[in-house]
Amino acid sequence: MPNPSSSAFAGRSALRDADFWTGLVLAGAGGVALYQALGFDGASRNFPLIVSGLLTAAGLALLVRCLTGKLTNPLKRREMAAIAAAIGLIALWIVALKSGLGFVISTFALQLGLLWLAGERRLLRAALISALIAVAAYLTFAMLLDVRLPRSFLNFILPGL
Amino acid sequence: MDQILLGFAGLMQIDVLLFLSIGVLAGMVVGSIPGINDNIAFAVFIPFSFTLPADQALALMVGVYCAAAAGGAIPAIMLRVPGTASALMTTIDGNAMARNGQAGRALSIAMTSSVVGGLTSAVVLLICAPALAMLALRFGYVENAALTVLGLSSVVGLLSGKILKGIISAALGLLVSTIGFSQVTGFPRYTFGSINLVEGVPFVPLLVGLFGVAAAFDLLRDIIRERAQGDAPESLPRIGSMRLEAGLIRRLLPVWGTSSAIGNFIGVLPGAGMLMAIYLAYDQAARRFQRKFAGRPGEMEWGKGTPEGIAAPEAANNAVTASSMVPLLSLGIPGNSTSALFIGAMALHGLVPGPLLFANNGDIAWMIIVAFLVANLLIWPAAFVVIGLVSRTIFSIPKPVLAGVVLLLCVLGAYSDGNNLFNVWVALGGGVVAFAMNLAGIPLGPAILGLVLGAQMEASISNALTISQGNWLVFIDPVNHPISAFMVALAVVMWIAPPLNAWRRRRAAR
Repeated sequence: MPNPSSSAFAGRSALRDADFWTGLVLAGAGGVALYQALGFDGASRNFPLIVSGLLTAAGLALLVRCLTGKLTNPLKRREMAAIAAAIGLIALWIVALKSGLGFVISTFALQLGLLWLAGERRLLRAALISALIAVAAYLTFAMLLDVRLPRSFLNFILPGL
Repeated sequence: MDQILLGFAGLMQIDVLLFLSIGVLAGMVVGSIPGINDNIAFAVFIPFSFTLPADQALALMVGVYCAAAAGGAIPAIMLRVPGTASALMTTIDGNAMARNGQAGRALSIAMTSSVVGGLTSAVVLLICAPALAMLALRFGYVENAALTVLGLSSVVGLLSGKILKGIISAALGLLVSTIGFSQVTGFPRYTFGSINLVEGVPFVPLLVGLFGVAAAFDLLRDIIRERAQGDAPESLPRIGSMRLEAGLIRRLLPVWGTSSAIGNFIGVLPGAGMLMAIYLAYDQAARRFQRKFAGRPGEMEWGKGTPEGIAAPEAANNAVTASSMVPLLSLGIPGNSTSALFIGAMALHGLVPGPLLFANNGDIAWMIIVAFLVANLLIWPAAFVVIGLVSRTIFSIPKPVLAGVVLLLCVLGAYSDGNNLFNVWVALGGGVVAFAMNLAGIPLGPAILGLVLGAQMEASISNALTISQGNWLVFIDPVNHPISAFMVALAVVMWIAPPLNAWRRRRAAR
């Protein structure tokens, strides 16, 4: 029988384990999918019911294994923070494009942010590289490949801005 | 024979051949960029294939696929950093040989081995894919259902101790495949009221996210890790002569034969991937070297610059390229992650891989097969150009710039599929999920198979059960459905064998 102090330690270390969070998210997502599948019509529900049930059970098994075993997949906070910031930057880029900020400006800001996250601290150099990438991407996609990029409210100043 | 000629006729048009050559050159360049693997190369090139006709676009993709696997050897040898994961083992002997002043020789062995492996693989594709497709054309609902079960089960044996995570991955893929209108009744499932999801999750943006965006996140993480460790780049060795003497070619012939056979065998197994092929090939080459050459005067130690240590993994990784297309083109089951991306490239042009591809779009199917043959022949000249002219420039591209460019090309690729920003959300979501799966050690292969096979599995099982009036034994009926019974039996063996082996090993260890 595990003593209380070692269980508490296992619980604390589990919170730093990727398996713990993965198991938790998967069991939760599987549970929601299972609940939703119950509302589908008779012939359409069987397959999603089986698959979501399997996902829930496997997620729970991972969670239990993580809580009762040792730390297997430790998360590195600094790296995770940078990746989370990159995800946030792309989300902001999509929102900016949707709200009509324009491709070149949005992409310039995205690249600048990504370069900063990757450790480029020389602002002028980063700005130059970002501008170059944004303009090159606009020319390639809008001009060469004829992709219709989202419209910008600054289009009257310069196309693509 | 007529079909092969049809394939050549399709490929030998100037514009198609030009795009194949561009693909080979671009694949070689992208493959030789450290940190950019063949999946990213593929994801990055998908937007460029949008505006092209199907034959040119697919020729471009075949070129990228074949050459990226070979190009990975260039930084592996010159910098001791594998350009692609498939060049992992090449770094050991390749860089050691380069540091001994024979970089040209090492590069030449790597490229020749890649060409040999790739050509054998193209022949395997040429012979096996049409034959398997002919057989698959006779499949009914029962056999198709058994085939999807077998396809998913085939990755179980390759998960070595990660069975639970493999099941999670497959279940995730299958669950995502159920999003959208039910194929059985048309009932909308998991759409959350979004019109963008009624036809399911957009496939190409999802694949671009799972492979490209996730890989860009990995690249960003590596940059941060390297910065924290303060790794400094090494100086480049001098390339020198790239001539291979006849004696060395004779010595490497058995290694090329065995490694190509291993690569081809692994390639046709769904989900096995290049890594397993290169490890197995490297291992057999090491055994042969110890038996035949170890201890001879003037002979290097294993791992210190032996030609076999470069030839084996390079022949094996390129032998996987075309052979991994065998299950894809004939059965619609991707052999590895890059061939799964190929489904996306084909879907953009309204083509569906599987047995009907040869019946409905025979010209394109045969053109793809023949393109693998020609692409491998083009690897040599492309390698000369890249090694001689652009490799030093490529190696000087800062990784932070690379991460941003890859990420941008991936999200733009996702957007270009219908000029819809929703697709970018899908790619971002796919990237986040794949990155999280990688962190948790959940293999991506079963999820891709689940994603690709899910709809077919559900529809086939449902139809088979309707026809058989709900009789589940129809799948193991050896009289009326012997092929299905055989495939189900094989699937059961695949599930039972790994835990049984583990149990036997534990018992033997006691």
